[in-house]
Amino acid sequence: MDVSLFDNQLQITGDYYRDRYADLLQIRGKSIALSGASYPPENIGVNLYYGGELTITYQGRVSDLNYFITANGSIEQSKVLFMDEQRRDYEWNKRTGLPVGMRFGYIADGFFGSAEEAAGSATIAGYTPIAGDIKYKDLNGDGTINQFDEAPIGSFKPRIYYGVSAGLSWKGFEVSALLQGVANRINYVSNFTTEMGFQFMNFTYGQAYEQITGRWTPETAATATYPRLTADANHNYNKAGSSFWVRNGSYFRLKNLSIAYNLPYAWMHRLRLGSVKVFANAQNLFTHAAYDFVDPEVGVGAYPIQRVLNTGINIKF
Amino acid sequence: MMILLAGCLIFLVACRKDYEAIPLEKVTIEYVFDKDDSLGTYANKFLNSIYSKLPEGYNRVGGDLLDAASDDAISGLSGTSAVSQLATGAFTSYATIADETPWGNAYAAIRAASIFVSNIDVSPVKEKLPNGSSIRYAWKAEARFIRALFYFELLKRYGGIPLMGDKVRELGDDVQVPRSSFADCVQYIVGECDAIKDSLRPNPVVAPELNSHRVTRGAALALKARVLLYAASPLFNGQNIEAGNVLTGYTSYDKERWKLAADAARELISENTFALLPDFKHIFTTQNNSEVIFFRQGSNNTTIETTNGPIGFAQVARGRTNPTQELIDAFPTDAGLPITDPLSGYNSNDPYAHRDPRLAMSVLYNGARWLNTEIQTFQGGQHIASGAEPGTKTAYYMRKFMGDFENAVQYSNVSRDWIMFRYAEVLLNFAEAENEYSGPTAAVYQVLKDLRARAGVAAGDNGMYGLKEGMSTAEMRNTIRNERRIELAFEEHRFWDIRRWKIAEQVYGRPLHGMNILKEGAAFSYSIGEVFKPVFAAPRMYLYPIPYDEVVKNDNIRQNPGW
Repeated sequence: MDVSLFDNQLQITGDYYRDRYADLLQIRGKSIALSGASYPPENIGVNLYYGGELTITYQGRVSDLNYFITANGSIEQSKVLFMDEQRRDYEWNKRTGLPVGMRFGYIADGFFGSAEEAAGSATIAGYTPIAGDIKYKDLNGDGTINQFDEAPIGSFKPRIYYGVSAGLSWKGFEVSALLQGVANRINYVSNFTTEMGFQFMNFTYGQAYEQITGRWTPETAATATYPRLTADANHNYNKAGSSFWVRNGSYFRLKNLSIAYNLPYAWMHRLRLGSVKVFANAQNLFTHAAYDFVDPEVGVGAYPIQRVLNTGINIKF
Repeated sequence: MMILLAGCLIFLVACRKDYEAIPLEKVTIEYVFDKDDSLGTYANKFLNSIYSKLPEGYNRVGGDLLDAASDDAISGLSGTSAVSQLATGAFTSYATIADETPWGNAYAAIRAASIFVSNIDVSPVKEKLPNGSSIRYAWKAEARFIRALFYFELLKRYGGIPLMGDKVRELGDDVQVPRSSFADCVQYIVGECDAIKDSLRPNPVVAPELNSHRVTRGAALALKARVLLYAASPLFNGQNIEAGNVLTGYTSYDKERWKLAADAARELISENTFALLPDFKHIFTTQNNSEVIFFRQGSNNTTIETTNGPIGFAQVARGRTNPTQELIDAFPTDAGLPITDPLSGYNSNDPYAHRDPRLAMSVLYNGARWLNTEIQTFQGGQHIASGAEPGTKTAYYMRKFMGDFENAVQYSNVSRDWIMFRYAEVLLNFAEAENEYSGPTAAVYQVLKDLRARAGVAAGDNGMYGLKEGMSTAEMRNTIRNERRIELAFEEHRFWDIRRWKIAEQVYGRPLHGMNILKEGAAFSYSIGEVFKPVFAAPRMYLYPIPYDEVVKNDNIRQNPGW
């Protein structure tokens, strides 16, 4: 839908979609080993994506001042309609009906305060937890933490992208700015080089980052934010996929801000130049993220997006 | 103009109907079973690929022998190993031990064999067997044997299993086949063996350098004998773990099943095509000897030595298999008397002297000769584990299957076939079944005497090789079970024997022991210590759990009781 009002000063564009993708390639659920052959992917999957977009632009003019402001936002949600999922004994294990790509893992429930508490709780087979390890919830009450205790740990909320772009110009001055952001996003932090530190040389060497100062110690047990540090091979317990490592990935960022001044025509004409423009511009000037130990847009492992400040003079002959 | 011309050309070429729908070099089933190929080359290659699916034996369970999960040995690995998980029951239907879950691999092999059996008749193979019939009948029988063997591998682990028949399932077919009863499975396997035994090559094989690895008549008879013996054993015949459950065994005891087993073994023995090799040590390293019935080919290598040999030598080895004191104690003295007998001459201060020669040929103990020196497994000795290095926890190493390296300095390549059926086992099968059916007859005694004579046990004044005369069925049963244990040690029999005899609860109910040897001057002092505590949750652990995913996907499969 496109609307233009008030003599093109207000423009609204809106979009709504509800897309059902069918015939997606998946291996069938009843891929039984009795046939003796491996099953090929078949066109059986069905996903649903729905959402909307809205853009509003207002341009205005007050004597010498021209200004515009644009706001846009989009919201999207998805759902798995059919993936030939076989019988699951527990409701929380089911993947069908959840957003596409929903992450599953154990539910983390604080830390063990003491070795006795750890000995009395359910644990992953083959490991004895000690004080300071993450406590996982035993959802089906069978005394072990295994695939039947995995529940959805991602977000059920629809993803929202938004942005604002604004600018004005007045007698040779120009200012413009662009702000963008994402809300309802999850960042699953599985890079243990930054989250746990000391990952090299048998887990005794390497850099530690500031968030690790919140690690569990007997003295700080009440306010600990990270599990105990460890230098032995039994570190995989705390690294298991769980809700402990889920962080809020929402952020917004002032992507672009630029100020420029065009020297008056009168001066230009006298100097016989086309135009002279003095400008300063900044990219990624300001970022606010709920979890800001890594660049929220890029995540871990890639080079973070740089903040760039530019100034200059633009002369046309 | 040029563009127009090019466009026309493309248009013409694109409209041809005989374009390549399937790549021409792709080998489809019409090529494999080619009705124009009188050599049957691709078909023969397909058959060889079926042979390659046979289980490899030796250190196949996470780097350890399967018998390291029985009471004969433990793994030399510090920490948890696959066999220690098996021995302590640390597995469930959704977290199975990968190397001991042959479900998927077995059905893949069964499918390959069924494809072969269904299609080979198309090939007009001209080569003939010595008896005049086309070689493709032998090939077909070989594929059927391998299929029956895989069904048996599944049967002894899971009980009744889905039988797929000759039909090869395609993508749209219903694969939700239910499990057949134990009785039906046994009947199917035995029926297959009977149907193929006349089509297979007879023993001894003509041109052994080409064909000794192939399934022969002897192999089919040996499989039949073993299957019937297992079917007559207490676990399936009379002591079903769940009364009335046809999937986990027969629902009632029938003594005639022992007779069937004895007759099947007797059938092979009476053909006189195999003989015990006089030299026990070389059965496993000499190719094509008179005792081997069926084997899986292996390359010439030093893998067994470097994986299971003693640590502490310049020649690096890992000492993975540590025989337990229980196995050592099962070996009688060289007069054939058990070590608990006061007349046997056993000396607990010098326990390895005057023992059954098979002990020295199966196990390396303190003072044995190896790699040009004497083994030192006393505390502080050169060849025992200290700190984190895996070695022996029991003061013993496995010696069976290895080459003659007593006086060598380095290991060299040894012929390494995995022997699946050998004549000694068929004799023991016969003795066990005959004893159960008719009691200790002269034929049963003769089997034991032959095995002991071959081993090098002294005949004794009465020619009884240390065997007690006039034994009852129960005493003979224990003697046969013990003989089976020491003769077939480490050959993947003990693990199944303690289950089919239903003695696993007692055997795994006690901790396993090793020897602690202290050197005092020139003498050694021996004391026994615990090394491992197995766990056995009877009765469910007598059978394996069907893999969880298979039970969920297949609505018609019933899980084994207790899993």
